[in-house]
Amino acid sequence: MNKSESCGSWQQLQDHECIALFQRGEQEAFAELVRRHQNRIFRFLLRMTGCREEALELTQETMFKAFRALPGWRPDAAFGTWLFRIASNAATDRLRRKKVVKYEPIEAHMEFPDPAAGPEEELQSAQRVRILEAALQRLQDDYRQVLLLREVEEMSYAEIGDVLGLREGTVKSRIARARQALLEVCKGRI
Amino acid sequence: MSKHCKRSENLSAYLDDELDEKTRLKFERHLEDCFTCKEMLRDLRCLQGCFQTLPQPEVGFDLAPVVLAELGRRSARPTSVLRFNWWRLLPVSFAAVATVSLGVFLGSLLTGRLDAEVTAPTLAMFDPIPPGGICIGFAGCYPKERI
Ligand SMILES: [Zn+2]
Repeated sequence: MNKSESCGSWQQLQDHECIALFQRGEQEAFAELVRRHQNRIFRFLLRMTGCREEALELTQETMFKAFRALPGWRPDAAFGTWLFRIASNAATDRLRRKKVVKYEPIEAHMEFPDPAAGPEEELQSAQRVRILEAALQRLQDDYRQVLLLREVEEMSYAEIGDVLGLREGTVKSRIARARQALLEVCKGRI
Repeated sequence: MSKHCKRSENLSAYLDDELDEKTRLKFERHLEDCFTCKEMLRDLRCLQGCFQTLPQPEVGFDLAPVVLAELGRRSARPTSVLRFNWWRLLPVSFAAVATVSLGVFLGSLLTGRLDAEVTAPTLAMFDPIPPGGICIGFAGCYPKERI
């Protein structure tokens, strides 16, 4: 978490302490929770939807839903994990409604940057990042989702299962298949 | 990915340190002899390293005031508008049904007489005698160029 995202004495409180204060009517405690988690949720939604405006809108929607559910919230999962559950459902709903789910062959129409274009190491690293971002957008949604939770958010299989409502065994095999799919797209390019 | 190994699912979980002790030891023994798994493990580690270098885009402003203001706006809306009570629509429904029934009844009365009345004026329009005229078909009464 970025320290500049929090302010004053609030930043010394743990998530569950903020939640307890909010449940006693302290709205600023909720504002602190939003500040803490907004960027993680936004990044995830940005890579899920591929659109900044949509990601912002869904981040707000996630926070609205959290606000409504928090008064009766029981800490059966970490607050961050619980927020990802809301965000993940929101992203899935939106993508399903848009029906832009394109299960075309992954390599089709793909515009990868040429990895040989920049000889310097820095340039090559930037190219690799762009290749990976492009490849992620080409993956089917459930593969992209599970990889982002694992590789970017560094969640354990149990936490991912909690977010997606899946058994750990299913998480394990889905991650393996998602990695295989991503490797097939990126092979020789990264 | 031309070559596959049936243990690649364990390979992925091995990378994440999500195998139980017994399975992990067994897989490490397999890894010593399996070139396919070794190669794939190297590729997956490379991919994992690349994920670590992904940029971290941010919202760019404090979302909390926006969220709280919007929540305030939403809760300020009168709840009676949002609540739907079907029984409140009953008088309106009865009035609508009565109006439509009356309209149908009056309409049927009108259409019953219509056939008889329409024929006379319609035929009059095609009467060969011009209004007020006494001459039938006498060519001299009409200039040639107007026919
Ligand atoms: Zn193997």
